[in-house]
Amino acid sequence: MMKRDLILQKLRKLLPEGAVSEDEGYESGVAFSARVPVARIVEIASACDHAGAYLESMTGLDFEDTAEIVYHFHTYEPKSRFSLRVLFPHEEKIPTLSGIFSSAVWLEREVREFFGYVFADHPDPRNLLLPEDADFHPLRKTFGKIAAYRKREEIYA
Amino acid sequence: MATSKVAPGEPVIKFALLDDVLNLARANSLWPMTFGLACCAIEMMAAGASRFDLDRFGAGVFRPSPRQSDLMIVAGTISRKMAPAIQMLWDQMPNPKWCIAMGNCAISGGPFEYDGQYAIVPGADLIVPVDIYVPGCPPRPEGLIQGFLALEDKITKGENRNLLRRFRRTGRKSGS
Repeated sequence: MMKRDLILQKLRKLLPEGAVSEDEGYESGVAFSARVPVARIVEIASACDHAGAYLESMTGLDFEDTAEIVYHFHTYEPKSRFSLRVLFPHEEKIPTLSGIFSSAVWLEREVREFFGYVFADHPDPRNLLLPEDADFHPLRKTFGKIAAYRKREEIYA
Repeated sequence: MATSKVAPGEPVIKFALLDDVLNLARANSLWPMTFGLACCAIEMMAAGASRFDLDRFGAGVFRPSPRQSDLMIVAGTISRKMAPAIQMLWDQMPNPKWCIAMGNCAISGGPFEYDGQYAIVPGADLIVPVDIYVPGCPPRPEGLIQGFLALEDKITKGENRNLLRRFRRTGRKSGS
């Protein structure tokens, strides 16, 4: 069985009905995406790791009512990309994936400095790109001129 | 006892005529620092190369160390993380020293300055004292050379006092 199908099967088994949505036409840029509760992200990412995917990038999103982190994974068999999406309140601490993927250390540092989302038990919480003394989070929608601070449903209708 | 304040870097005793001669020498042998931040540095290199030839004005000796330079050309965008390094380079240069802000980024942040930006220092004059501003994006080498000539005039306190000046400005009366 191809690794991609194996991962899809695993996610379907681990997550409740309707959490995994496929996108065969790659319209959103990924083969499939899964919405994961924040408490289970380590478990699910670990399952992806064992099935042969690696963490490619991380990005944050800032909405009025919720914060979101998108983990992009990639696998080579066949070449395909999928994402795990985590919704959580702005103040909540997110479990770190650095125990599974070493590359997550830098990715999480970047998300932390630009969005202010704090990772629990992160091994190296310094800033990655911003100056060391930067105490602002530039990619939060409340930074600078506030143009589009919306609720999540208003954008993902 | 009355004490007079001496600004840092200024000599305690001044000799007017000797100062004039020294300033003449300084103006005609400016040693810029080899130091570029962005695309303006390419034009600065062109100004130093054979076609435009800054050596005509005694300013072609780009020094690799701030300890040997007396002119800093801030050529390019100053990012916030670069600013402390620029300040340190400026502090390492011996007095007397001058600074040219080359290009719109070094003057005011240029196209990178907008509401909500977080990465740019909008203007070299926020971190070091600037003598000459050369506008352009980037300025042509001729523009930088004009900046050099203006700086020479500033050092010798007037175009007519720069006796070693190789070129006169055309189109207007000298010394105005």
